[in-house]
Amino acid sequence: MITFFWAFVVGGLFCVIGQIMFDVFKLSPAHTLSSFVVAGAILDGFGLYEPLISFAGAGASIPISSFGNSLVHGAMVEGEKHGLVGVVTGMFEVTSSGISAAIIFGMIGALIFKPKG
Amino acid sequence: MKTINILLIIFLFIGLGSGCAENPNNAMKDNGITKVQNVSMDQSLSNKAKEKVTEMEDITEAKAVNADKELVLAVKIKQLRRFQIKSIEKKVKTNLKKWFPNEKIEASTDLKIFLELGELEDKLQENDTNPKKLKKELQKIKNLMKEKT
Amino acid sequence: MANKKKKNLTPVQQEYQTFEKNRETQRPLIKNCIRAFLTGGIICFIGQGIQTLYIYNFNFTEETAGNPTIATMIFISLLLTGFGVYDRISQFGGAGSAVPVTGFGNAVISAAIEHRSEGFVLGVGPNMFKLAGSVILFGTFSAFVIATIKTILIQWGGL
Repeated sequence: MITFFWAFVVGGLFCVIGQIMFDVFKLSPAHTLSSFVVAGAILDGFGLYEPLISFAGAGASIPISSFGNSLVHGAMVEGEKHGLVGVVTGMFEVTSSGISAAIIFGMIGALIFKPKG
Repeated sequence: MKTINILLIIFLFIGLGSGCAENPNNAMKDNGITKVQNVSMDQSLSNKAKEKVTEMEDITEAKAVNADKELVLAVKIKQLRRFQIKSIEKKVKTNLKKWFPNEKIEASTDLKIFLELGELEDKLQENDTNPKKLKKELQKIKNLMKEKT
Repeated sequence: MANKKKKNLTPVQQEYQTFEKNRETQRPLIKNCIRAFLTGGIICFIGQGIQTLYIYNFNFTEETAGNPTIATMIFISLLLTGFGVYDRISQFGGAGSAVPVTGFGNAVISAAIEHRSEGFVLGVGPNMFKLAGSVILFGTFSAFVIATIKTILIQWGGL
């Protein structure tokens, strides 16, 4: 299916942008990833990230910028219902999968695996 | 090192080549819908809705099932137009309301809804269901449409 | 030191700058970008495959399939990190392995594994969030700012 093609291309392009940030702007991974999340949040603020996900599927939902997108989404959904209070409470309603998965599997990893070298 | 390079080139071709595996249905717009015939649970409303919707620009395929004055419809959109999927969905909904003002219609652009409706259509074509089961299945699909997370 | 502008460096310091520039590891930009493109593309391709699997075989819609896909990708990165494979991937792919969520997962999981010798409470706990912390902090805060601005605009202007 053609979505696979665009997932490949768009995902690759996101990573090329990251690589440019590594090599040309000499940013550290922490800086780069944080910029990506903020960029994802800004793009969703302008309503541009969701169409990208509809078009490229996993190509836009796998890069870390999708975290920023879901955070803004969750905040907006609750914000429409409860105003500014909703913005604070709604943020992690939709995003939990990535962060909780990383934390849980991190703990499991520490329990199971032995460090190398 | 050499094996990795070869593997990567193969992957590159798979990744770029997946764009060439076009669905043959896209080329023939008239065949984007199947007319479902069932005596006891009449699908003429769905068939008419599918016919009219596929005439719209950007819509490649449509699947629909109706029961008890309720119609659930799902469409597939051209890949490059998926950027405007939300506005196309809105257009479909307003058009459906215009064409069928007396029916309750739910429309979706989601792939899962499309697949589920396709399965239901096949069941109806083979007369593999009864009105009660049909209504239950339709309700299940409508609940799927409402899910947000 | 902070007051000195770059132009006013003494000759010795300028000499050091050129010395440093010559000794700095060369980064072949085009080659790195191609590798990043391939690695990131493959990871997202696999992610798309997993998402399609969830849509076809389980009760997930396109909208809701994103969450289990991300969780599965991080599980895969757990396996790759635990067996030491992800390090080789990131050596090759650079940003192509760091930008997807698998890179985020790898950062958290590898830190957890590495610092287990210091104990869970004092080692694993704090070090897990070395990279994740900035991502979560800036993500949450920027989302807060943007959502607040949008909510205010909607309430004022009926956007």
